[in-house]
Amino acid sequence: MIARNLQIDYENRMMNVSEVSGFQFEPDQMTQAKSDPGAFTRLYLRHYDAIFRYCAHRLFDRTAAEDITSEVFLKMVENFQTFDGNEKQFRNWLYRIATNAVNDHIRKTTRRSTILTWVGWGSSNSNVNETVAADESQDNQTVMKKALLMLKPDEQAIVTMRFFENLKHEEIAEVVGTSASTVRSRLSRAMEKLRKHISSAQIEGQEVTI
Amino acid sequence: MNLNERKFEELMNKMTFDDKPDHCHRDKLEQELLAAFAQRQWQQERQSRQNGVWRAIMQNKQMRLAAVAAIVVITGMAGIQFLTGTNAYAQVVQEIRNARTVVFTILSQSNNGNGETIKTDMAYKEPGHLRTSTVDGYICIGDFTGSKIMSIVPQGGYSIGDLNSLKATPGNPGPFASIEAMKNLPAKADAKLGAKEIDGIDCEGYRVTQGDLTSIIWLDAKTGDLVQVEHKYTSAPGMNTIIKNIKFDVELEDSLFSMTPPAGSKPMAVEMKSDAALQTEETFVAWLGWWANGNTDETFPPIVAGTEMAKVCMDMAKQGKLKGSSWEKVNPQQMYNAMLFVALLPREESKWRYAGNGVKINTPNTPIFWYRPAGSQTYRVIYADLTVREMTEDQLPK
Repeated sequence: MIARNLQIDYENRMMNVSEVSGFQFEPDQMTQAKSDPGAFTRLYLRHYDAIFRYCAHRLFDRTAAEDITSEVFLKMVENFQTFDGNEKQFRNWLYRIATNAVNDHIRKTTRRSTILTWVGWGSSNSNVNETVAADESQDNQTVMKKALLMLKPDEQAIVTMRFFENLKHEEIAEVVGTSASTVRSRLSRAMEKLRKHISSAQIEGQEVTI
Repeated sequence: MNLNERKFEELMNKMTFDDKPDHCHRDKLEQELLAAFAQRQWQQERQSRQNGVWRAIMQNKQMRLAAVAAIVVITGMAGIQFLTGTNAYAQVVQEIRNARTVVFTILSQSNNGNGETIKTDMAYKEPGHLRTSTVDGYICIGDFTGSKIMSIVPQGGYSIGDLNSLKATPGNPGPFASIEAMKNLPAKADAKLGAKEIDGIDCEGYRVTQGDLTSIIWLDAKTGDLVQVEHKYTSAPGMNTIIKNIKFDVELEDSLFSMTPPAGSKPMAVEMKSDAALQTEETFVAWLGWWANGNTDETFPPIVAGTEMAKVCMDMAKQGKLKGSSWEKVNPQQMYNAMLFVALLPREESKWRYAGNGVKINTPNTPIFWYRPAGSQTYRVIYADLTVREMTEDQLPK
């Protein structure tokens, strides 16, 4: 099992490297993955981490992120036969499913207020025995997380894809179904909102000042 | 990336959050996905097969008639897979999905409830073989993959038809309206019914209503096995179907579905032609008159559609009730046209109803059949004196 995990980690790292020059799955391999469980599994393993991370950074909740990740891939299986594209488009498709799933999750469970409560509660409880300095650092992170979660879901999605997942504007545009220039302007507005949220928090030491 | 974005990125990178994927979750999900992947593939293969069979059936009117009851059952049972909500259902669904063969008995009560209940045994084997047989030895074998149908009568005759020789009426599901409804059953049963004992088995019932058709599914309360399925039509009370003795994955010899005629049997020269211009109300009325005037009781037939018509004819001939005493005297083409007129009426839209069983011809003021023509607001009502009147819905016989 350990060897398998190491292999998967290695392949995923290789995939990230390969993103510079393109994705590894050739078109015929994408087709093969529709009927061959082995190829399908390889494709899944190559994208699991990224989708989980994206969900985790959207929600800051591991359990919810795992649930949404499961939902995303199950939905993918449901519609995979009708998907027609290369691996990069497949990744963007997964991000699109994930974005919709996370947004739905937020809407359905009034997650925003719950998350905000959780972020505050979680940070204070998890640092009971830590130093004051660490507490301060954690407070700054809490402010940042809160600020992110105060954004509208679609703004939060763009920010997460841009800064956590390092997607290009054009790639984000493909995921959210708009133009790169619209992504830029939405990103700009979202950053301005973040700046305001953070400024109003008046964090001591101004570590989060932008 | 501009300066502002770079600052944001640096800031985000400083954030600590445990975003390392958990291999246990990843592996568990992998298993779920593989199961879903396999299930999806299986469903697509099955759907593909069913579509093929379905097209073969729909392309042929003769087969429509011969297989109406059987297909209702098969599709109806396939429709059960859409019912969910309890573990018992889940088990039945799984059983049906995995079944390669199905055998069952269908009890058709095709009139007002005072007529003969006809019992037919059915056997279905993938990818598209169907056999129906009555206790009297009337057998019909359909090979949906080869588009052939063979009818065997106990008198030693057989006929083989080519399913591709006839064309269907586009857009008219006819007797398959209820089947289409079954294919589109909702994801959940409308209601869980109470308990009922069927053949000594304590059962739990579930009801699903889809348009004109109501299906009641009875499961063994202890084992969850499918015990009985009942089909009822709101617009035609009494025209019920009960499916019993349902077994999945029993061994069925290929010989049961062989299109080779039984040794010693003789071919029957019955060639049906399908002509939509002849499948009219006028033809139907003429046939009703021919039937009533052509039997010793001078009554209208017990039923007017379904595979059982051949058996009814044979029985009457056997009992000497047909004037002329021989089943060969039956005008099969006229009967065929008349039956097609009824069979191709969409049940839900036309709301047709037959009430002529046992009624003597020329009985005054006695309606025997009524239906609503396509696009009409009023009904056509055929009386026992073979006159036809126009009526509104509230004027119809109760």
